[in-house]
Amino acid sequence: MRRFTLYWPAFRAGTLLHLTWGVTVLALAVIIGPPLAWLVGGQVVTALIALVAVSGRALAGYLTARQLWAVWATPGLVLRTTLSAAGTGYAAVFFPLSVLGVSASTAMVTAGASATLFMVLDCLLALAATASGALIASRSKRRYRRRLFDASQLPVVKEISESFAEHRAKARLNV
Amino acid sequence: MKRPSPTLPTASTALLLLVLLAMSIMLVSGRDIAHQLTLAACTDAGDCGTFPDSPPVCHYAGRDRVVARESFAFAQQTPVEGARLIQFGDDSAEVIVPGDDDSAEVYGFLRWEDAQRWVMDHSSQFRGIAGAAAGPTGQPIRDGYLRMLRLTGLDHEAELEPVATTVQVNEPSGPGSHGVLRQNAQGEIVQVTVVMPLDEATAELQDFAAALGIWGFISYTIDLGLELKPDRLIFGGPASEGWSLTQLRSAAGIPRSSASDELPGYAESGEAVLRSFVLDLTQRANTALYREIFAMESVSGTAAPLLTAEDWTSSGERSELYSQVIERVRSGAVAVETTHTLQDADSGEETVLAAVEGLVVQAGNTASPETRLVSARTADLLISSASFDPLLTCEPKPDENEDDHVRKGLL
Repeated sequence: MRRFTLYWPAFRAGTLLHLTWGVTVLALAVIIGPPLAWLVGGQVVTALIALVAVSGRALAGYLTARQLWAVWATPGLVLRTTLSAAGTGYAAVFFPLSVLGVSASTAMVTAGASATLFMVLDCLLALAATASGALIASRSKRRYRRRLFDASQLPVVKEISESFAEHRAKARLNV
Repeated sequence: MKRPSPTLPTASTALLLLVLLAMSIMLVSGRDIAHQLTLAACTDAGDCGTFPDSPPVCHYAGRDRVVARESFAFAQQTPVEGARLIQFGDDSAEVIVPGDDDSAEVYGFLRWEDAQRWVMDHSSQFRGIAGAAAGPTGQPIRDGYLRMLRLTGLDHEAELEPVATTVQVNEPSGPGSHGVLRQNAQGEIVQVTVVMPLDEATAELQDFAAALGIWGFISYTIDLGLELKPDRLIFGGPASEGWSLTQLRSAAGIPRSSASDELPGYAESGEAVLRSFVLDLTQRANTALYREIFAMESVSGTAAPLLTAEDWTSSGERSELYSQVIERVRSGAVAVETTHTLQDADSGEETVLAAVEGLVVQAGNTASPETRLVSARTADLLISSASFDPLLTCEPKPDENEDDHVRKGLL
């Protein structure tokens, strides 16, 4: 059985990113959302908030994965780490609120089963956005890695070449 | 070449933690900030829609105006799906949330601004926006956020508990009648309201309603104090045209009214007029009459005072009872007449009757059209020469003298 391994430093960094983004977008929705909705309409603002939230999660996935691609981690490790971080950060913010919301005693309460389904669907969407960001980061890192195989660009090689050219010039003058 | 580290630099970590802390702190007072911003936005736009607004009532002295301010509904509306909001003339408001059966919960607010906050907290539109932060499926994130504030003690407002519950009753006072019993938090009945359609009523009741200038249906509301002691009795209904106080005072018994029983003209112009007569049941004469025409009956598993004349008395006895009521009304009631515009509703008999019934029943879970008060007038029939005086205008009449200005407390 294969072990489920994570790169813990990147996992911690990613979790913090998603946690911060979740709280930030929630604060924006709670504070700015209602007055904006009055001005431009509730549906517009709802769509805008959802788009901003998803885009932010993709960006967080990109930032987390870029660090891992840069150290030539395998795709599996990158995805496991970024998605675990995203799921943990998302769940830490929204799962408790969703559970509290379902248990709130109002006349308009959502049925528990459907609320659980909605939680899972939204979490899957968040993971999908994160995965897309992680894969976009992999493309930029591969181009960087191909440039690395051109040894003439390495600083030490450049230094040696310049020193060699300098010595050759001096030798010609001595001759 | 140094390999990049797959962790966040210390500065970035510190910045993220700082942002996390700042956003968490803002969330604590986020609801209040949002309320202020929303009110500012809609006020600038000139229309706050379903948010309750301050009613324009002049602070006059006088028994009729005090009674009117306590009884009439300034506005009724459906601010959020499944809830009905009533604003009263004394700045208070109530929100009625129907239950699964024929009951409903009543949430009371001493100030209309508190009702504004309730409407915003329960707006499905705002709830959807907070839920969008989690995803597009509409999780109850806002409800959870509000509940989290209460559980952690960060909400300066206590959890709102219903001040009363209401129960619907069928045919409590004759065929076709229906009403609402209002119970306080201790389970005691504090108000009984019954609507009696006139097309199914006895001839004596129809004459009684016509004498009061009421068509369509007539209602009675009894406000009860401790140990079911009656405080106030209100007869009311849609106002008919061609009626006047002079007719009410003109003859003994039930006066022959020239009021029309056809659809009034105001119904075609998107308005509804409610005419009410308020009797003070702490006066001995009124109390004696009350005991004659109302009897404690068992209804919905409890005892409540109900008008039994329609069911249990003969035609002659009914005529005599209603004559006595007319006598008490013409000699000591407070007459209140309020005109309301129908908001976003088609005109017509059914709409007008439904709107007025909502204003009469108030705490019932009636699905009534939205209305807003445009004018009101009152008359204290204890004063023999009293006539209807406007309630909502502070401008004096042209022929009023200085003594009247001082009495009414005009600025």
